[in-house]
Amino acid sequence: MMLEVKNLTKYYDISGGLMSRLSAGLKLLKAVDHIGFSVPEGKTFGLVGESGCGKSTTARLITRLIPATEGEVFFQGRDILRLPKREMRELRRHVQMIFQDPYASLNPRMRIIEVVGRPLSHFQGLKGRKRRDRAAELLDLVGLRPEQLDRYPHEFSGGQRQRIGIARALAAGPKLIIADEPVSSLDVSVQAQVLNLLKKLQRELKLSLIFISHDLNVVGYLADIVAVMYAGKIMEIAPVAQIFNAPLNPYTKALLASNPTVGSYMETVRSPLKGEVPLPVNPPSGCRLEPRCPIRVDRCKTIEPMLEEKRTLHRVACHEV
Amino acid sequence: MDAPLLEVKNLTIRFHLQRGVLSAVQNVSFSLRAGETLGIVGETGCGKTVTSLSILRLIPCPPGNIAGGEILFHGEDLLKKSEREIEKIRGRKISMIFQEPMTSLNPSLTVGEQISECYRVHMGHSGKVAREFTEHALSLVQLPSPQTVAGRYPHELSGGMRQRVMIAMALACQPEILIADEPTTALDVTIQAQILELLKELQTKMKMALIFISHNLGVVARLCDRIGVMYAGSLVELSDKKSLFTHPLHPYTQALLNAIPRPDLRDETLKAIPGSVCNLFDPPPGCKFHPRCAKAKELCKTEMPRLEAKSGENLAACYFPGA
Repeated sequence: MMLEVKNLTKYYDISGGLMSRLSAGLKLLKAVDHIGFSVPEGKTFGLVGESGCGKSTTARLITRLIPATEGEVFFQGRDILRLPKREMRELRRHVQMIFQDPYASLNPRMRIIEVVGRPLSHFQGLKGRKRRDRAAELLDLVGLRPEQLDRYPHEFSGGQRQRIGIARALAAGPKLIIADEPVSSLDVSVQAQVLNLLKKLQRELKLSLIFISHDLNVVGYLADIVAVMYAGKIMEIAPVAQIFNAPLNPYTKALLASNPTVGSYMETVRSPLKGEVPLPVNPPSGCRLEPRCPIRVDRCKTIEPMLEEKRTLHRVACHEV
Repeated sequence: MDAPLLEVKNLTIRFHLQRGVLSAVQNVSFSLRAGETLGIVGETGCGKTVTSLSILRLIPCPPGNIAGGEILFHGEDLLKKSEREIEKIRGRKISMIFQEPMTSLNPSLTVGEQISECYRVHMGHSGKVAREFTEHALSLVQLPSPQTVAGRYPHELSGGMRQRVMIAMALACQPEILIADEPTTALDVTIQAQILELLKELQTKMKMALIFISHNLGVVARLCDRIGVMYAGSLVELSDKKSLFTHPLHPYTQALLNAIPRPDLRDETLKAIPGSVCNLFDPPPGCKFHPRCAKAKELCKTEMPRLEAKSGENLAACYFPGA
């Protein structure tokens, strides 16, 4: 396994000041609540869910951009969350991130040679001519021209910027890339270019990829294994074909039925899930989906369903499956 | 056949900016029949929003300039009407909802105050009657406890609820046409499904026509009867839904459909459209899609194709349409 996540948890205390804490009690936002999954070597692990479900928080916990409340993240056998600072710096070379907003994630004052060159000198110790040559190679690899090295981010389109973001991540020489909604802000024709690129790079460089998105079509196209998150919990994990052809969890089913695809042009609109997507603030002890679930029974209210293997390699958190 | 409710003819809109003249919309023509749902799809900057804003005369002039064309509503040209005449149509006969409801709602007024304004201004109702209508409107969009919601400020509501409020406000005067500009783009997929279902239901109930603008072909697929595809300011195809998805006429429509990732075709490389959208300050001569089009011939590089019937009532602006 490239990465193994166990009991990963992030709670935010949102009780406010002392007075409101005394009057209203402790308010915990359980953004990510004891989740576990593993990412096999050279595979793409898709993490899908609606806003606020905890998918981005998960990415940030794994890369230690924010501290975890609890849990372990094993990268090639070592627990990332407990590594001392120096070793962590060394490890960052192997775990890189690509972000959603290609406008916000590039420093507007840095030329592309600086953006891509910094990880090259930092992690690979390259300098001068060698650094520039390697940066040019990387640019070529992501479908940009080497002469664009001296340009600034504002001279590029959204799709091109995302390619720069990918080149920057590759510059460190990572084994695992975590891509958080990397194509969400792109138009569909450009999105296709970036998805093709990610798929190609992943195969050729044998990278492991954690791909986070709210878009089921994109995740279904790219991922080998898919985990569906809802309100801080993983509801279902299975190989991609099983998620799309034989989903078991009622939330996964609803998500798929709500997903507008071009193949569904003869179907009428319908909404399988009523009510709002909840923020898991002091969530009840039972299943997070219970208030909206079409197949709920009494025990769903009080007993939390565990993620259990219901079919081969297909784990589901639901009492009624 | 009935006369169309709305007819847009040869609409051309330019923006005079510091960098030069941007041709946002060029020679766009389409019609909308009563009760019909027309989808307009296209990527960022294709002119879909500008087209819809111009129907309500919401294009800021300057820098915008409606350089030509007509927008006929019940046979009368909206572009020739005075600001006062337009105010009687805007929000009453034709209304609009936008992508981000938070920026289109007034943050310092309660939801109820904002909706009841429609009843007071357009229908001349008294405050008390307007309040009753408002509560009715809020229950129509299936908000729980309308009375409570009416007293809330926009920031106290979720994105889905705000969009319901926007719909309640837009439909307050029972308009004949509702223009919805990416109304579900900011919403989660299960909430999006709820809003689409609600829109469809209310449209049938009120027998209004709907212009639904989106970048998402999947959303348009489920909702619309006919679909127009825009590229770089031009309407390149206008077909009924089934034809568009089974036998797209314009190469851009075909390319767009092929570029959408599909879980069932995961082993195939996506057919991305090469290159990027042309510079609207300096569009290429001829068909604006020709630099990216696999079928482009000499003719396409010089002569701009007109939107014409190519297969039954389905229109395309292409010299070599179809497969």
